[in-house]
Amino acid sequence: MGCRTGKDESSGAHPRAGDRTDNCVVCCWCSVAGILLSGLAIASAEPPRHYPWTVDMPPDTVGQAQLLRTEPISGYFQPVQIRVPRRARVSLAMDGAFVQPQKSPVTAAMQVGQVYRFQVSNIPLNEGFEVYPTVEVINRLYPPPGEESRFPIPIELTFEDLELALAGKLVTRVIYLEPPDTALPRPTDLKQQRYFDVGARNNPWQIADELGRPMAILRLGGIVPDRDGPTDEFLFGSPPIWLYEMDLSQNHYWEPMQPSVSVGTK
Amino acid sequence: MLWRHSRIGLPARCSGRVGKPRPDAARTPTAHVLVVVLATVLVQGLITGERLLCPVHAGVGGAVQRVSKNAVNQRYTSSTNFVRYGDRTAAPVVPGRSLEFQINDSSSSRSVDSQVVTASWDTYVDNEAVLVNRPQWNDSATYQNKSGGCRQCLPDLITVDPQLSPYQQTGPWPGDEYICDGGDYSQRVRVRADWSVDGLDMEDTVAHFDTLDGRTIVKPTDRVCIYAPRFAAVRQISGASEHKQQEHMNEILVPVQPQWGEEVQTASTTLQQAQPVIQLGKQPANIFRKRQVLESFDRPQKIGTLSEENLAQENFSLIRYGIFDETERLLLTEFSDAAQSWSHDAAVQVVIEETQAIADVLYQKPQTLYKLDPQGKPELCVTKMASRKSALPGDVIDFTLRFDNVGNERIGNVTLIDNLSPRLEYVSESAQCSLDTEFFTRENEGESLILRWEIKQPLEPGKGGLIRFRCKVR
Repeated sequence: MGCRTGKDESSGAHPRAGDRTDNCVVCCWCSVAGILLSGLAIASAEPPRHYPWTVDMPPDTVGQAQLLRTEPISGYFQPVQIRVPRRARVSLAMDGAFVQPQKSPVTAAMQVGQVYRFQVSNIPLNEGFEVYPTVEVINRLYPPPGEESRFPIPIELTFEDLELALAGKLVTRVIYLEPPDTALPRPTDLKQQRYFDVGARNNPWQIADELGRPMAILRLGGIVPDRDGPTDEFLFGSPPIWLYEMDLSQNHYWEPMQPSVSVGTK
Repeated sequence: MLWRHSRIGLPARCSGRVGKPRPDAARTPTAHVLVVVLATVLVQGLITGERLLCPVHAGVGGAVQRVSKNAVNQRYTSSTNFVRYGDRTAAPVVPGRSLEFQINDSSSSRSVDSQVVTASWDTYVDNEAVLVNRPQWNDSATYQNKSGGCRQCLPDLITVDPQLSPYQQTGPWPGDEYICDGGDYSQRVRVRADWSVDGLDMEDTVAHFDTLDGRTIVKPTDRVCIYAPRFAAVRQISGASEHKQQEHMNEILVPVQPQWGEEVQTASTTLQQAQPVIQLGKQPANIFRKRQVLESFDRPQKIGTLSEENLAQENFSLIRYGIFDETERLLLTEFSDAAQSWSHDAAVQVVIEETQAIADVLYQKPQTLYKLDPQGKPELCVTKMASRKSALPGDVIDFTLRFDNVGNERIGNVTLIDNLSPRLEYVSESAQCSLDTEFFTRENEGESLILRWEIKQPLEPGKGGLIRFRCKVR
């Protein structure tokens, strides 16, 4: 819409001075509205956020970067609970060797920023094969005093994850804390952790950060230790760990489940 | 109509519209300049998030019409809508229409049509029926200008306790690990003429009631926060090429690891567990105090209509009898971060002509003057408590709502509404109330429920009740 000053094309009569004034006013209004709306769009748009870290980077990169934050997470032992399918066993690494295999779930306190290697053996339908996932704790919880071990970060390995790892795939899980106001409601009888599948071109760390607060990274691939046993490099130096006593009363297993939502393209 | 809240949870934005200018004035340059400046201010307000200018709500009032007892079983036509105080069986008010009303005695069996408001003898005071001209919002444009998100535009008939405003509470930290329920956050709750509620956000819990002078007052409850973190995961499956890359990364990483490990060891010597940080959310209980009404001592010692005796979190004098005990302040604070001291045992209680006297405190003089408040002081105290401070998914939490009329006049249409968090699933048939009430549920936008209790009878001064319900943590 322009600010016309010539004849009125529809009527053929000369426009009145008031009409020209009205058109100019409309012009001014459009200009003001455009400027203001553009400012509104700029102000309302969320500034772009740079994600320098990806899960493809070497393990402990993200965790070490987290230690540089101002929150008191350095040196904190965050309880973590590793859950594997029934009949599978979990062996955590302590002092350069794997300890006695234990039933699921296994709860241990791990230092934030460190990478912990553990062994999953006696995999159903794949007895005799082991996988060696890693867990990288990148954040901590702030539970009420005395209830730290009651609220560990759950690290779940499904039967599908283990089979994919045995097939040579690299499975990466970024476990994040769901905000309560945007948490998806779900039936309370479902014991398995909700997870989303993302494609290889997506950054799981970025998606988890957008959905909540990333807490840990699980990497599960086909890497195995040397024949002479796990080296110190393989175990990432066996960082300090604190094993909790087993509570067999809470022992339960999780069946493999299909992902609830698939994000991106593979 | 059982569920009267047809607009629960529907937020409306404050458009900032202040009315149409006159056509003649709109053509003048001065008017244009003013309108442009006003539009600039409004849009900048949207950009900066500041509050907008809104008109002052007109028509708010509480005209009371008293009908003689001799007017029983007679029908009257009112120039405005009338709402009878107390009786829940009355037909809903039709905004903007004149309304007929009729007074029936208890023995009358005459039926009236739905447009006639009826009253019973229970609502009479001194042989007069108190009919309250209820303020109404029937102008949609004006209503939008007064909607939530623009707190300056709250009409006078809605009063919210400033002590419970969101910014008065520090709350637990970090918030993403807690499920909170209660209070009135984000948009403020408002009650319309047909008792529908606007601005009821997720996790809000409020009570509203009507006063004798026609006001509707909204009182938010305490905010109860439960530690219940829940996790999810993002999974990525990489193919063979990524697998080779991963092997390659390990080979590069290994020699670098010891150097970085030394840095971490230096940092790990920090023994601070930072636990005191989470104590910031504890709020002292002595925020304010109010006089305690003498009628509260006459309350029954046992609540017989509930199926169970007092639960663990209810073993307080405040919950059992509605009487605050100073010795329970600390424990009350533990169970409810926002528990507040609303009475004081040490204060002198003065009664004049069987009515609680209001202390006129003058700091310049040593004496205290007690006087009767002729305007009345309707007040409702609502306390919310939870049986657990932390919970895992699947755990069941008992919630308790204690409400008391701590004012000096009768209040009616007492309604309590709880908009549950998406993480809380109401356990069916678990709602109980010690008073005669009607209970409704409705699904909210978080696939949870809005719980609503309507107390049938008016609440006398000093009287109160207890509500319990259970929720399962999702």
